[in-house]
Amino acid sequence: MSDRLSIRDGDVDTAIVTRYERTRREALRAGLGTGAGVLAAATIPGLLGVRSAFAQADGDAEVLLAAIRLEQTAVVAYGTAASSGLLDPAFLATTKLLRGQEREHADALVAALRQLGGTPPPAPRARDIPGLRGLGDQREIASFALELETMAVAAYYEAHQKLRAAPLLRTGAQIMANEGQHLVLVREALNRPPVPNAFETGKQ
Amino acid sequence: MLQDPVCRRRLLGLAGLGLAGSSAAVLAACGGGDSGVGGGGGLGKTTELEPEGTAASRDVLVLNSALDLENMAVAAYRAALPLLTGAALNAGKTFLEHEREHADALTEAIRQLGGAPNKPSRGYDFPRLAGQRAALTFAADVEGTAIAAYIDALPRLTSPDLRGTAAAIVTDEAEHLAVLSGALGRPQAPRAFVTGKA
Repeated sequence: MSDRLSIRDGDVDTAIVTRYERTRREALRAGLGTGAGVLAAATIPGLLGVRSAFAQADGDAEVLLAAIRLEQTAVVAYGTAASSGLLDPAFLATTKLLRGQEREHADALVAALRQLGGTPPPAPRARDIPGLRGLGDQREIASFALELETMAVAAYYEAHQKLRAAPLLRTGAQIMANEGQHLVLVREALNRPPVPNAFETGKQ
Repeated sequence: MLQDPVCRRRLLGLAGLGLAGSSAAVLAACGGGDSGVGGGGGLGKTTELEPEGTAASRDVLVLNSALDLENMAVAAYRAALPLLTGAALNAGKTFLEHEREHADALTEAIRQLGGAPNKPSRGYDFPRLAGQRAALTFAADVEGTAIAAYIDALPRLTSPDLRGTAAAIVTDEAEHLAVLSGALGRPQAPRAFVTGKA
């Protein structure tokens, strides 16, 4: 393992944005509208940047870094949603629950990374998460959350094919299972089937 | 979740994953490992009791343990369905189908590895279920047991693809548990780390 750890998911690259725009245009042509919920998982450029870090990660430390960044993004996103004033009491409570659990994930992963000698990345700012700003109502926020959680499940699914250490594999599975439960809460809030597939891979 | 550890042991025993047999040996070994990052084990600690044999034969052993659980879950949902109504019945039907899909996938994976899939037990000595709430509680117990077993066993799989599949299944089981918990009036995501243990 290298002594130096680097974060590979810096600014979103042009190709990712281009793919997003193409997907959005295709959705519009298909008459599906522009809401986040109608687009496939991880089509928001900022989320794709986090997502691509998982795809590029190689080795336990790099996977941990990508996972921390993902969890930090979720904490910020849910915190922003919780303070938006747009949520009814029930979904506000759900949002606060999810934020707290994402923070627990992040804390555990940071501790694990430090055991490997790594340094955790700084948390992103809300304005660094494209797609987060401009969400106008609870349904849009829930749709964003659906995409965020779906991406998280997909990322951890891939991580299980890369992680080596048994404790990390178990922790990853425990977190991925929790993200699946988050998906249930968000899908129910959106009146969608709570468990649509027998294999939860985060792919739609 | 299984509140009663005796009941958990009973369920594991019903699935053939108790204290005897090769499948049990795998899970017994799994139980001796670290519980995760928060479990107090160092990340460098990778020494766990490994079954003997080739990588493929070890994977077959783990997969057959999982298959035993899935077959038990299929039987459990079949036992619970007659007691369910409305939304709970619809969920139960969906989850029964999911468990069948898991069993089919595991059977296929075992065959691809050159192994012989375990057959379902001829019968399971399930507890008597009196009404919908008992049926939902029983289903939740079965899901919790499966989650705990998968998480313990997952690192023993040598194939990265199979580890991914196991993670996809355990996440599905956790989603089932969330729905069942909701139907029982319990918190649907009570913990940030889903262990399947009470």
